[in-house]
Amino acid sequence: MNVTDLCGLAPPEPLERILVWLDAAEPDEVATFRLPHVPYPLFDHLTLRPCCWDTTEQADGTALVRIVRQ
Amino acid sequence: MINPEFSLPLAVPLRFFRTAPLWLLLAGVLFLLEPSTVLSSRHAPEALALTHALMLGFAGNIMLGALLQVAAVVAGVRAARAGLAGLMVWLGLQLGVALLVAGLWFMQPLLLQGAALSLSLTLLPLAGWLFVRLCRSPACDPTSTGLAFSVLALVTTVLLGSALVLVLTRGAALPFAALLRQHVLWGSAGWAGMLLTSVAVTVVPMFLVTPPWPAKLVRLLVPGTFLLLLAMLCWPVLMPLLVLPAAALVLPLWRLLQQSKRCVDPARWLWAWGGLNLLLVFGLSPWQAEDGILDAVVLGGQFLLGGLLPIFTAMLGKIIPFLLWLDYRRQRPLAGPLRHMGQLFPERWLKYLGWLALVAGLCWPWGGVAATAAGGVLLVYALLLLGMLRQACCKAVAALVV
Repeated sequence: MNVTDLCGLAPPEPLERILVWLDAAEPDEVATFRLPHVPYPLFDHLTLRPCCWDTTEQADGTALVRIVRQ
Repeated sequence: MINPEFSLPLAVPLRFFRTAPLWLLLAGVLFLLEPSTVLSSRHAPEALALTHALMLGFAGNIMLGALLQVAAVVAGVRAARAGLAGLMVWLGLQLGVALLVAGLWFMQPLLLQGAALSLSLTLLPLAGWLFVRLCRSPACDPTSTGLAFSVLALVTTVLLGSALVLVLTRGAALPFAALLRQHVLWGSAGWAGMLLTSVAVTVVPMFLVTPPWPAKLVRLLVPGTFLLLLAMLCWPVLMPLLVLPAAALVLPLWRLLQQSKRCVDPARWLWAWGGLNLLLVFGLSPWQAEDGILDAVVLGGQFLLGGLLPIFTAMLGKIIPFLLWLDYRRQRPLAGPLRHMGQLFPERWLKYLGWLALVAGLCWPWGGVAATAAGGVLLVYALLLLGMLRQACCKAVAALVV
């Protein structure tokens, strides 16, 4: 699985990068991002876009967010 | 799929953050009205009123705003009607603080009882709700756990404060000195210290791009502090041990700040300076004396002006523009003119506030004219912060119509 690590970026850069990717993605395109924790504020933004996603919290506190463009 | 409705309405935390400088302004005015009385004794009514204007009005508004926001962002804790609930809590807090400050300044029993009632009815149900929701949250990170402990400390502080009001106004047969000591301990090391630690665990690596905190330390630090405070309820002689959690927070904090990728960010040295003062205050507090550098008024003031003020400045300078950006991006899904937080709250603003916080922290311990200068600095700081917050909000609104 190809994961884009966004943990080393200061806010709002990680969210901005995810939203920019999503707005440019083709239907059925998939991406997975690693963030420092479960990005609850991101979810409100995702609901405004044609996509579905799931989140997995890791043992080290980081979270993997997998997004599918619809 | 996770329930998407996690973010708080922007107005909820922002209302608390924008009210905080008004209490700081009032505190500055009150201090400049009676500087010698405030400095004379920690038990002077004027000193008590000023302490609560700073600790509950200024710090309390920021802490509640941060608590609600961080609980939503990190643990997904959000009320069903968050806007209305947030407004009720805000109103109850402002009413309670106003009554308490006036009641202490004029030593009016009715006002003090009203304050105790208003603060208890506001903060205890909020704390109960937050505690249950934090415990039920699927998040098991140290910040969420730490917030739950800090909420328990808030409950203890409010209950002890209400008991003190009963002693003062109804002559209740309770040990005043012991209650007061515990109220101060649970309010400072408990509610403020544990909340600050819990929030720092998330916001320092996040905003200053540092490595994560040592995992074992952050899992144990807040629960350990809570246990220590519980033990001090029975054995106040353990008070010198309070320096241990302070050191366990501040020493790793300094190391993380050195490793920050944001080398020129003024928030770095604000955290470092605030941490140094917290460490000094908790280290020196057990050896309080009647006057000089170990006087309770000096140490209490240094906790607020040297410790909390710079750290809260650093937090506000990051959290507020981030919230404004989130709200802007929600209303404008396609990328617009607002690309980064510096457009809303430039780092030079944080630098100005940082210098003022530094001057206030350096002046306060020397008493007399120097401490009065610190009071004047508070006024300037409060006015600047009010102006900056207003300008940041205006910029966010203006970006929406471009």
